[in-house]
Amino acid sequence: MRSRARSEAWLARIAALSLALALAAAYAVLASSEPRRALAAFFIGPFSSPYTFFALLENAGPLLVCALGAAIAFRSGAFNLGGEGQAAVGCLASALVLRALGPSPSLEPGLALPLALLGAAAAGAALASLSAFAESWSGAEILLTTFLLSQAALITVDWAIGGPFRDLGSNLLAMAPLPGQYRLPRLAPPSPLSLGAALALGLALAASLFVGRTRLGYELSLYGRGPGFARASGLGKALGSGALILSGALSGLAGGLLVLGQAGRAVEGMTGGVGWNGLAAALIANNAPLAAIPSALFLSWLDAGARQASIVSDLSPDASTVMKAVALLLITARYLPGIGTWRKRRLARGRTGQGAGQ
Amino acid sequence: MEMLSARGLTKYFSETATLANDGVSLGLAAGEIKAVVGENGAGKSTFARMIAGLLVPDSGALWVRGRRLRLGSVREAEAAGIGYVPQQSLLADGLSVAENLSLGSEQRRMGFLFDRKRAQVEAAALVERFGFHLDPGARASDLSPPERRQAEIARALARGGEVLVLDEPTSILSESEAGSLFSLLRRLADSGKAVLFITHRVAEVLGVADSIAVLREGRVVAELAAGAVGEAGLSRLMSRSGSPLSVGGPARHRPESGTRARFGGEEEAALKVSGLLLARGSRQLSFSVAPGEILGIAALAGNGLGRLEDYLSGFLTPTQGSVRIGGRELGGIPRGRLRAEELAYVPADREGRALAASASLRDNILVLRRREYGLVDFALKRSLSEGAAAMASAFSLSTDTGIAAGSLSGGNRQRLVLARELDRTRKVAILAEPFQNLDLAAQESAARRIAELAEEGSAIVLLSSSLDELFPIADRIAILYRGSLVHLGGNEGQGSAHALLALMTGSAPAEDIA
Repeated sequence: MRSRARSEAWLARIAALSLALALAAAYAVLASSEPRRALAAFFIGPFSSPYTFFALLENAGPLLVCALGAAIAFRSGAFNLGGEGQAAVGCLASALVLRALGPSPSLEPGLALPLALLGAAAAGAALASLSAFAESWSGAEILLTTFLLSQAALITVDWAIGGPFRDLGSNLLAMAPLPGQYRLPRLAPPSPLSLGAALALGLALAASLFVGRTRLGYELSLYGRGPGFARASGLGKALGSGALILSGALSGLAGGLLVLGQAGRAVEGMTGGVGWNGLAAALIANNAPLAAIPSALFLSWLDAGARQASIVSDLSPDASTVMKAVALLLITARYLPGIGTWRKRRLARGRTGQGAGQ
Repeated sequence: MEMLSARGLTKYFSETATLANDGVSLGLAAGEIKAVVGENGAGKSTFARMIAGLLVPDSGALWVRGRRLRLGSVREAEAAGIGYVPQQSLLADGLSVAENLSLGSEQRRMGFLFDRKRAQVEAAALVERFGFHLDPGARASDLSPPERRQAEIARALARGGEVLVLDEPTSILSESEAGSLFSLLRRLADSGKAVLFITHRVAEVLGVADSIAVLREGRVVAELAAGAVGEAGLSRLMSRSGSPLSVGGPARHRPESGTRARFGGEEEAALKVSGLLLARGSRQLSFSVAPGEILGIAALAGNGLGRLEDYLSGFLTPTQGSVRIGGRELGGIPRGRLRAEELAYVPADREGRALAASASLRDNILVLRRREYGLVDFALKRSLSEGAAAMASAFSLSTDTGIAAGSLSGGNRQRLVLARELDRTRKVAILAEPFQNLDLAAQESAARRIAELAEEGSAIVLLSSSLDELFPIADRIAILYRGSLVHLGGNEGQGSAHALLALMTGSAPAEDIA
């Protein structure tokens, strides 16, 4: 019975996503002068070659990690709107750690890479912990402080990358490229698919176990059901703060994956909405870590499809933004309420037939 | 004239595999007050919700004033003159009474502007006509519980309600408040309305209803005229086993002198409250409760009982005075440990504090015991489910522990909370309205359990708006009026009810409490 209610909820989600895709297609048809090519590129393009497909997977990695971060905060009842900024400080931190280690390393890459990712996570956690402290100290709204701090962090990180740490030898507003051994190993060269995507997958599994199969995860999700209940049941505020900091750490880690993965360097503005998309992926997944995997892939597909379509046709790459917005709107508005009532009616009618004999 | 006629209403809930209503047929005439009584889970609310169009019956039919209604349509039920007042208050807090009355059927100016003035006038006329004690301009959030109930009834009338269906209208009211609600219902019936009210409180039915229908396990087991049956007979009809219950509330074996002696003559108070200030201008509050003792504190709504609950449960930290458990300041004990080992707490506000409605019964019932389960238990979950089922069955709550707590009936939700809080002896138990929503049998077993915990050495504080709930089990009774303690003395039983009620309502002068 429970499982039926749950599968109905997921059915509604999938229906909403399909509708979003249909609307996306309609948009592509309207916005492009050669709709057939645009559509084909959009839907099939990302799967047309191993390279594009692996690129899609690689891009889904950081997105998934951000989604896990957002989901954990959501489950504890907090809206972490600062994923973008936390990812940005993660980018900068990982690049700075490797820069400090020097170009000709005395350090094994097997040690340097985890160190850099740890630095990224720590930076994201530090940024989120400011909001956590502000909340427990003065009751400042997490929703606001994470967002505002994130905006400030984004500007600061861009300034750092384009200013004091800029690689003057490059035309880009970017730090120097990382030496080869400081990049995450590629899994399927020449495609950009790296160990980062596998790491993200592993984290999703770990997060799922954490949330569903540990006492701390149990406490966390009960904590998120309401402050009154949490306080009455002796679930301390530390749980909420801890969840937010963990959420920040994951977002920061996603930033580190961006730097050590495909880009291989810290570039201004490189987070490119990964935090916001992570939030969207978490919402679509209803904050279930495992469901965040397909939902991150879905958003990554929209991105890749729009990119492909903009290469072969005159569709703007921003099309994916429109489509993601539509998908999110449909999901969060719990669209298609009809499905549930229609099924209930049918069930009720079915039962009347049996019930008449009683 | 037959105003309402329900025929063979049947409803099966597949979620809980219960046949909530099994061919319920009832009639209601104009000017009649009919009470529908039954234990928790007898199907009373289900019946009311089907009449109101909120639930679609699996089969059956409904006539209102000779017209057959399409089932499962709130709009049609309203149009036919059914006014439904649900158990839980559904007023828009930010709006005035008048605005609440017109909500959904607003008079408009120029097609879209809300005509606030007209709403005010119409509300005032309604209040005047039926003798409500309500200020149409007051904000809903400022209303006391009885005023809220009145406002909800007024809203049902404002929408053209001819048949009023009230689900547990007295559950949040004190006895005197319930009394004035019933005289309002009588006035309404005299003016030609038909009133159907649902309750599990047997005592209040007898003085009010013209006729009584008894529901048991989804069936009407008896329809009686008022006066045809007494309290005992009614209780017997309601009870599942059909066995006679001791009426007049559960009986407690008072602890014999030996019980106290176990804790030593010069015993330390388990709970010590000193110098607490509940409201500006009220007297400071001091009392202590010994292990094994049950202190009942009664007050009418709005007299500081809720605030006291907040302090005793550690929700608020007093700025003046202190609350100590076993000699230690309540606020200084880590809350997780406090709740697991030292303090049982049944909150009066059920939805917010007591339960996480969207979480499962299992997760809710285990929350205080979570530290007793280890890595493997949480990983495999089987022992969690078994533990939860065992705790639930102790309060005869036998259902799938995986269903959401919010989908349980009001009575079963209360059983869940009691099963969690009364599962073991803790140093102190703060129980606010612990019998709320329970039927007689469940009240009795809860009271027995509370007495048992006291025997085992718990210091128990019962907070209640009903003296009747305190008399059977309290050792001492205290009365709060306007935030001050106006009485604290031994339990002298029903005979002292009159004097205590006078203290609760402020019509007798406060006593000096040493």
